Amino acid sequence: MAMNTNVRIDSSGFDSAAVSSITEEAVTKAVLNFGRRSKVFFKFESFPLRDELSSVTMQNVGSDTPLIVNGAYGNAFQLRPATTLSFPFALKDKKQLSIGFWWTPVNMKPGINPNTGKAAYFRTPVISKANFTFDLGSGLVSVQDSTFVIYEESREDNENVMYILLESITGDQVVLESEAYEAGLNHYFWFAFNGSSSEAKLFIDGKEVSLEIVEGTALPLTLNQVNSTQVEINNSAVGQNGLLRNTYAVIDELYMEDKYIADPFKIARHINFGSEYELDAQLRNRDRVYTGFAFDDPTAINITAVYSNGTNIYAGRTDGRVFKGDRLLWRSRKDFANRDELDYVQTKFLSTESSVSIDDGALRVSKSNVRI
Amino acid sequence: MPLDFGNNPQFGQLFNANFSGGGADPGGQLSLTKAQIASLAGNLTLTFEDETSELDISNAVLRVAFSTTTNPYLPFIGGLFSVQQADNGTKMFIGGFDSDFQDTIFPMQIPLIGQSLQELSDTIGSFEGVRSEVLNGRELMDSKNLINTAFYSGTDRWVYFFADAEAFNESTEPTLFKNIKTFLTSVEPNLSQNIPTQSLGGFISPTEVYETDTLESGVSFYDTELSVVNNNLSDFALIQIQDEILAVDDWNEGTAIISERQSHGTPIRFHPVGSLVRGIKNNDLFDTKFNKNRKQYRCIAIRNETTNEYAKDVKVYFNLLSRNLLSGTRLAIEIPRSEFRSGEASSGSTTFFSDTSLENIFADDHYVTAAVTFTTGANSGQTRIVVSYNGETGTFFLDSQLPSEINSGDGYYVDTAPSQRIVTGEVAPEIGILDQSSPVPPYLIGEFQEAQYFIEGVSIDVDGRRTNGATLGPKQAIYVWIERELEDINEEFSNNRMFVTVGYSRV
Repeated sequence: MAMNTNVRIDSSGFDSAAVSSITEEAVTKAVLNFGRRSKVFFKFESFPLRDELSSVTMQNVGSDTPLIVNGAYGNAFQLRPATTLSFPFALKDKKQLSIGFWWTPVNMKPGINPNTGKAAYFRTPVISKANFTFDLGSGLVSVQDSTFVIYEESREDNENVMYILLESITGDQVVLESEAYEAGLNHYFWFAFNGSSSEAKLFIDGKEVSLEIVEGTALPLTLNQVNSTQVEINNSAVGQNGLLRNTYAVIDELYMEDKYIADPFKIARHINFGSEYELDAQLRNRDRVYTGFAFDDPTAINITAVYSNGTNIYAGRTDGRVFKGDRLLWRSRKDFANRDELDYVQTKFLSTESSVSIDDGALRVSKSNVRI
Repeated sequence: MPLDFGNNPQFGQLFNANFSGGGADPGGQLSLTKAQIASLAGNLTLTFEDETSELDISNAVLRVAFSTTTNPYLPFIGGLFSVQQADNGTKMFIGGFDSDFQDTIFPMQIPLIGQSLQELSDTIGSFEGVRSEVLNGRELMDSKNLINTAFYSGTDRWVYFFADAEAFNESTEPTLFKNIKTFLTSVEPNLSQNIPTQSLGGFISPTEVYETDTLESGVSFYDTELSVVNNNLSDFALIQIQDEILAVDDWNEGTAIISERQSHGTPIRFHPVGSLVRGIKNNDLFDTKFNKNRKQYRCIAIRNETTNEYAKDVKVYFNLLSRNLLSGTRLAIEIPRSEFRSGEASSGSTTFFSDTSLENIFADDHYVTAAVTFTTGANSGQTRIVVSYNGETGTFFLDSQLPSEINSGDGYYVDTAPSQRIVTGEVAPEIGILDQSSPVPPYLIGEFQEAQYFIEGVSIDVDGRRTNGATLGPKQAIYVWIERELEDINEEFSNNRMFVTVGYSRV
């Protein structure tokens, strides 16, 4: 047994007045449980774009306003090439990060490199917290003082891959490449990073996909964090400037937190219920168990009256409708020649004297309703 | 075309209310009333006594420390921490800091309400210089289970906090979502119900409403194949995962080829690995027989099958309604007179036995109509109905003779008392009977309610009189009566559905 090593504080000289009650204000705060982790959530419902947890506002620093379109939950924003959205976000815990968002990627057909004759793939930005620099000599766009850059590369067959660049506190950068996924579809991306355990995971539509290190050697232990660097959507990708384009993808429900979240059931709640369900302290701990029932609703309509004028048959129903039918056709379909046909007639007796029977090739209905 | 996640009022209304317009920190609106908040506030009489000094720190659930190592410019030189309890029972985590001026301030005063240990730990750890960790995998434990302590010094050392033994022994990996199960009801105890349409109240049968399997890997909303672990659903052409119904074209060694996602007008979902998969059939519980008012009734039982987990604030509702506008469903919750209990007989004969641990706990007749099954001893496997119960002595009187004498130490369990039973599915159950002295069911049942979505969810604490309130503890059960109704102008409508949903809080 490992004994309790707690060291008790002597009560002498302790000012009890400093803590004398649980106030209503404190209860209110506890219920709201706003915490102090770095966490943002944008719903992309309308302008102005405001974080649901704080007063942080997402600004459009580009020249084109995004379009409001239908999204996974309510509205979403369709970016335009000259749209760049920007907001402040600082990691308090620099060892952990999770980012989730809905994204409908756009695929750009590859060009041909005139020197090699090989396909030249275009890259498009997604989201970044980085300072982009352009080197005129090499034509390369790179980043510095960054935390992360997420960008896409369009490949053949309408497929894209996602790249995730992470920068350590010492400035080392590593780039991870995802499996290919189909463009044009509504996907949910969830990226989770834990420097302490050296883990980086990408989930597409809830399923973990492989992430391969394509540049750099190892994941950072601690992410670089520059307070003045804003998070930007659709600013720039990294690579040859001539192959960089901005995107008109659709984005919805952006969630960021400085916490490593890779539990598929938690990610499922973001996907299936919306990230709001994970924000509220009360709702976050709520679960549900479903029992579904499948069934066919039978008709509730009965025939209440039948009249024949020798040529046509008229049937009145409980819903007030009267149907007219050809007598010959009626007879050919239901000739009631066989008494077993009674088994196919649903009856409703209206009194103790009610009866339904087959009589000389006809259905005899007395003080009853029948459904044929 | 956006994916259809079923943006029903279940979420929309709720969240629009809670988060309308985002706005200033702290953002949301309270889900508690002012009166509820006021009732949770209370006066503290600080205690310097300690209930944890003898406990083994390997059983601690939280540890907290203060250090100026990472930030030597902090205005404090020491930290002290405690869990104290107000006169009304509300607990509070208190953290104080010693300043250079020989005084102590207490900026950390966190009521332990509605938050898990992980959430509490996050809040504690957000204070500059304070480090907090949840131990023993108790991240999801309700923080109110922390044991009261004296004030401890946390300056450059860990202060360990402990939880009530009962809470500590709760499973670390919550399994409630897999173990809140739905059963058909039956006319006899321990009798399988092979005809679902005869689930018309009575005893909880051992037959679950649906056969169940477990997803072997995650299923995204674009997947058209899925695999289950045990391959026991190959007879089913429809499966239900969460609130999505999927139509199966073919089964091959536990792998289902899906012919239709979102079948029966259900929403698309991502299903993580480990999700429950239920095989369902059209027209199994419900059939086409209605009474003259075009209504039919069924009764199912919902039971917490865990041994040590508690579902709190349990509500039952329809999260997916009939998609035929000319038909609908309502539900009523019936509370059994007595809950499951297992124990050992102290003495007895062939027709009665007593359990002294039950002396003076329940009223006379408390267990009447419940079924007793013996688990050990000469009568092991035998089941009898309780026809009388003496609360003073804890004595059960049985409806018929057992083959052998009941001896001291014989194990038994008394199952959940039955609900009322209706003779056919076209007869409405008795409802709204709240003060019935007779031990014959129904004991306690609410009115039929629309119960549309979570916001109209019906609490299992019927009339505020359920012994365990809205908490569904291990082996506890409730009965849910479902009324299905057709409008008189309804024409045939195929492939309809509705979902009975049990919503609960883990903390």
